[in-house]
Amino acid sequence: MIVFLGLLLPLPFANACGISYIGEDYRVALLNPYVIGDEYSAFFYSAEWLNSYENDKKGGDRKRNCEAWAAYAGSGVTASEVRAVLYDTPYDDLLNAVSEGVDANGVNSQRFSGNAFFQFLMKKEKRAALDYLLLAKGYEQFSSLESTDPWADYWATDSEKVMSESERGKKDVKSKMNKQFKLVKDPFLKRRYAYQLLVMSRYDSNAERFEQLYAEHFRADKKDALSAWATFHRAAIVEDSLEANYLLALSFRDCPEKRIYCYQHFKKDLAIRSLAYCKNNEEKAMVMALAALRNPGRALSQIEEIQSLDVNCPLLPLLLVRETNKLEDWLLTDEVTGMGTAFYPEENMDEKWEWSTDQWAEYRKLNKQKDGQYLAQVRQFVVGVASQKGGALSGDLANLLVGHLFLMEKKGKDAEKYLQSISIKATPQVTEQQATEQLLMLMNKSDITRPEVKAELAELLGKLGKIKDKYRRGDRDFWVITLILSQEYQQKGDLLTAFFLHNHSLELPTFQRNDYGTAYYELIRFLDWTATEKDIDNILALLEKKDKTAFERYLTAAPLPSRNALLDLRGTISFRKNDLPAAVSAFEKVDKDFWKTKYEFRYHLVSDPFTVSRDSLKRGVFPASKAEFVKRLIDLENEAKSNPSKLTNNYFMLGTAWLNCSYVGKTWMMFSYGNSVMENEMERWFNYSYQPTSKEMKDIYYGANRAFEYFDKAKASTKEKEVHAKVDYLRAWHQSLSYKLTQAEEDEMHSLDWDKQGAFLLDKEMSYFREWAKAYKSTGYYKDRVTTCPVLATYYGE
Amino acid sequence: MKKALLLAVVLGLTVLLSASLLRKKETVKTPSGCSFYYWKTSLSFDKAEKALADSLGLKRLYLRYFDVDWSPTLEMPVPVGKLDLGNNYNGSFNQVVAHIGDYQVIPTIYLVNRVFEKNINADTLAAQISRKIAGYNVDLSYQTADWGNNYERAEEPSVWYLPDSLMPYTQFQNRINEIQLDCDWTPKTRDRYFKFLKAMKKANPGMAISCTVRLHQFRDREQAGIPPADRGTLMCYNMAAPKDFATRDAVFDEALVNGYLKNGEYPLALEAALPLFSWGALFHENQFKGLAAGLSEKDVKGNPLFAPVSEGKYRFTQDTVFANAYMRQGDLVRLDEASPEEVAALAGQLSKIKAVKNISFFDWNPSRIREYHVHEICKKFGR
Repeated sequence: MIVFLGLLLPLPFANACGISYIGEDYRVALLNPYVIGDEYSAFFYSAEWLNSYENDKKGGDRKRNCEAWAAYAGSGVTASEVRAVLYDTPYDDLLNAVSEGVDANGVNSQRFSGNAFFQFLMKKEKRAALDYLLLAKGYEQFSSLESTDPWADYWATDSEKVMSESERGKKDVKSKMNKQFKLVKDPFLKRRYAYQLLVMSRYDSNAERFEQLYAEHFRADKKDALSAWATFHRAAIVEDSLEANYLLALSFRDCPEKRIYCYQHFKKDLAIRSLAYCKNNEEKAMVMALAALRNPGRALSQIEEIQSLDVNCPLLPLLLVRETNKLEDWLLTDEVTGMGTAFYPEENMDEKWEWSTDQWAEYRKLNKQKDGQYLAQVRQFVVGVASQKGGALSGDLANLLVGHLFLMEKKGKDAEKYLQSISIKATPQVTEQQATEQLLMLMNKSDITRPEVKAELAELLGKLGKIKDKYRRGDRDFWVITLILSQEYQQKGDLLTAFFLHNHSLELPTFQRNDYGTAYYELIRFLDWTATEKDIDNILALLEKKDKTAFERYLTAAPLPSRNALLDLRGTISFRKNDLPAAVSAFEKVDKDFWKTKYEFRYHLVSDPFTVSRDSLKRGVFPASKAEFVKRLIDLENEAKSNPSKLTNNYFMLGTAWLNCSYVGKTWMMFSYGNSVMENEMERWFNYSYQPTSKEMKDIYYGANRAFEYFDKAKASTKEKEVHAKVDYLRAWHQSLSYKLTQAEEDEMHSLDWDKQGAFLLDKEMSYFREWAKAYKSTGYYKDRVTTCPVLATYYGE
Repeated sequence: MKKALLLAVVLGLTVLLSASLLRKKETVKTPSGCSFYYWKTSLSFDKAEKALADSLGLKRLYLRYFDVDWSPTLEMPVPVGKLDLGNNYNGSFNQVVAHIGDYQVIPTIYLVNRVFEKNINADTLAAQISRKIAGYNVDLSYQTADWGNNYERAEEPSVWYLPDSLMPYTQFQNRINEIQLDCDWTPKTRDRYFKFLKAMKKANPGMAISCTVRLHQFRDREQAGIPPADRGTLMCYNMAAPKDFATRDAVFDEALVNGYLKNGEYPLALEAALPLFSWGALFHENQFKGLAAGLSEKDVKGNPLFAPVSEGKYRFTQDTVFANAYMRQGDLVRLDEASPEEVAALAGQLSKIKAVKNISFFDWNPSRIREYHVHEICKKFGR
């Protein structure tokens, strides 16, 4: 009996100790933000703090710096050759290359084969330039030193040693730089030394020295990269936070490699006051744009203001794409995935469970209405922008955005006009996005069940599939599209197509998939508890079809269950409905060793289903296959009907088998593909979704109704007390495993000390045997039970 | 994010298991079957590549884990250019890395010769490298195991709480029974390098230690010495200096290879690596400007940017930035590559050398594998 009480159910099919998704895993974004290029990709809308944490290392500032060096070196040196040395080579590699030097033919080290800039640096007369570069790269190396022993594991890093080595190295470089700054005559190099010393004075908090170097070398000349970087560093040293804010906005524009810092340190609350430092509308627009970029909510009013200040503000396209992506998240993420608006779980987990789902749903609905109105406002604004010529937003991009926003409003006709206006000279990214728009348009305007539309869909899905890995989160966006399409087909009653498309999007987290799912179950989840035998037949037929259309070929390329798994499911669907001949027919087509070797069947279809015992020592043996088991059920029933002498025994055996196939039984895997503690008590056991969905199936599985129908027949067929004792015992046993505490009982239990709560539960469980014990004390079965179950003996023994 | 906590649990388990697994290595045997080098900086072995590998009967993959170079700043040898395993976890585990789990991986380390020009401690370096390799083995094995929603293995019993479901993982670990070291040692660095090879053997009991042997080391064995390794890979490519304008074909030159292989036998069992790669050597006024990796005949033939000059040589028809080099009109590109016929003939030639037990290819390149009919070469060579 002990084993009855311990809730020792099979281990849940957990692939994890806990499940959580970050919002970016499932956020819906049908508009690929890369339509504006990747320069500002770190600042695309994201459920996380930033979309990525890498500065643009190929931006205009580095480019200008490389060009300046190339011009300085002359002799055909290109900016890309400079970049290879300046930015693409670690300090150690540069030192090794320098020590290798050039050979007798003037051919240089393997690393820089043919690099004219390296050859320039290796000339004796250019030693001063090489010295500068080595010092500058050395300073960079020591500033970002992570380890003094690259062989050691990162957790074993001696941070004090690293720190002291870093300080020593920087100090050494600084002293050499100071010396060189005084000695060097070459104005190009002198300015660069001045810049390095300016950076050092910033980190030394030496404002006086900083301002002196800034005034002398950078204030007047604003054109080159060094001046832009000097201005950036100045933002960190000026005392006036409004001026700092202003400088950060300018640096965001001029220093791509420093943008994340600018974004981080810009104070949006000071934006309006910072405008006082701006010298023109362009600068004002930049300050406002950075403020809008920091706005996680509605930013349309800010965007309107920026547009009125400077139609060429470079951040306008980014801000409009962000606004569109925000709207997609607010309006579609929940609709498509059921996961709510994308959020970062660690920050919001507590709040999420503070209210009931119903309370949240009410607000979700309200907010969705408001978002719909806001969508129209954003669309109206972009329509206005699209009607203007010039500005930062290209005509193609404006038309694309308007078309996309109209499609979000489900206004296909309006969208069409704008989407058709996109020129053939549009950027590759805009052209790629057009495939998504065409697909959305088909869903919006066409009958997707028609063969010619399916052919178009196949072509578009093929196109999108090819580019999905090109962009960050592109795979997620592709899964979203296939899931939306699946949902459309499901709404139209085409479960077959919906299933295949659904399986194309299996990697996208959704509310249904937010569980301890196995790969096996993922593949059939869509069908389990939903599909009919006919649906499975249709799927099998499509899989076996020889001349598939392009759309069918696309569908069947999804991750799919095997034929065995589909037939097993078909048989299970029939079995659940007690259509045993149909179940046998399906199970017989499954490979004989399938349940002995595959999935969890191997571990959970092992016990004798005609014996009720939770004791692992008395497992018995499961029949040779599911088909054999079900055939036995049919035989027992037929025999009971034809031979009255077998009626009691056979119905008792059938009851036993169905009890074992219920949630509490050992053969539960005949009925369900997963099993977890307490799943019978909740509508949706958190992170667990294998449960039946209809009341009928729940009653059979959790309530063991079908089992007790047979038991009752057995009982009704005889007056033999031993049989009655067995049946009533099993009913009590089932109740003791399936009860749910009332609220009053819960409260009472929780008022007890922890160590008393176990006894409280035991009392509750044992209470189900009270009537049974009273009624059957004289039977042999009673004696057998109290002998083998010490707990039962304690409560109801002699 | 799903399965995030599992990572910690399994990594712990992994560390515990790895020590015992390493003790159960298979006996070191002369390898057989078709092998490849995988010489990229990030690992990506997709389903189509696995299908190709299976069709070739691929058994072993020499996987470059990292290089070792000298750090002038730290004044010690350091690991660089580490193979990016792709951080296989990205919302869900992709199976790109897991696909290599079915093959025998041979951790391969390239050591820049200058390391042995320094006064290094062979035992220390061997210990450092061995430890790093062991770490990579664990990381890689971990990624090859079936932790995620691997739909291809959906019907296999679920993993992690059942010992035999760790089989893909343990089998992968058990198959790692060799480490290969690659260094273009010279007579000057020979002694230090050989001492290091011995130290590697000592530091990795139960593992075969193999090393690469370049053609000049094969030919000039008296000066170069015979490396103290369990076996070697004879690199049948890179036969001449690519920077030299007079070179006919730096990757493969039949006349040169005959000279190198004249003294056929070698006291070390060898596998011969054949070239499946090419490059274009760029020249401006006879001066070397760099290499255009992967450039091949088919890329230049019919391309208006190039005009043919002589066999394997083309002239730039306009100013352009090509492979990061500024090429002017009139500049030359020399295609360095072995043709499919040359590779097949070389395999035939090598099959006559007793020391050469097997062949491998440098490096894994699906389109070239098809173009060069590698499966036929493997089949013909079959020893």
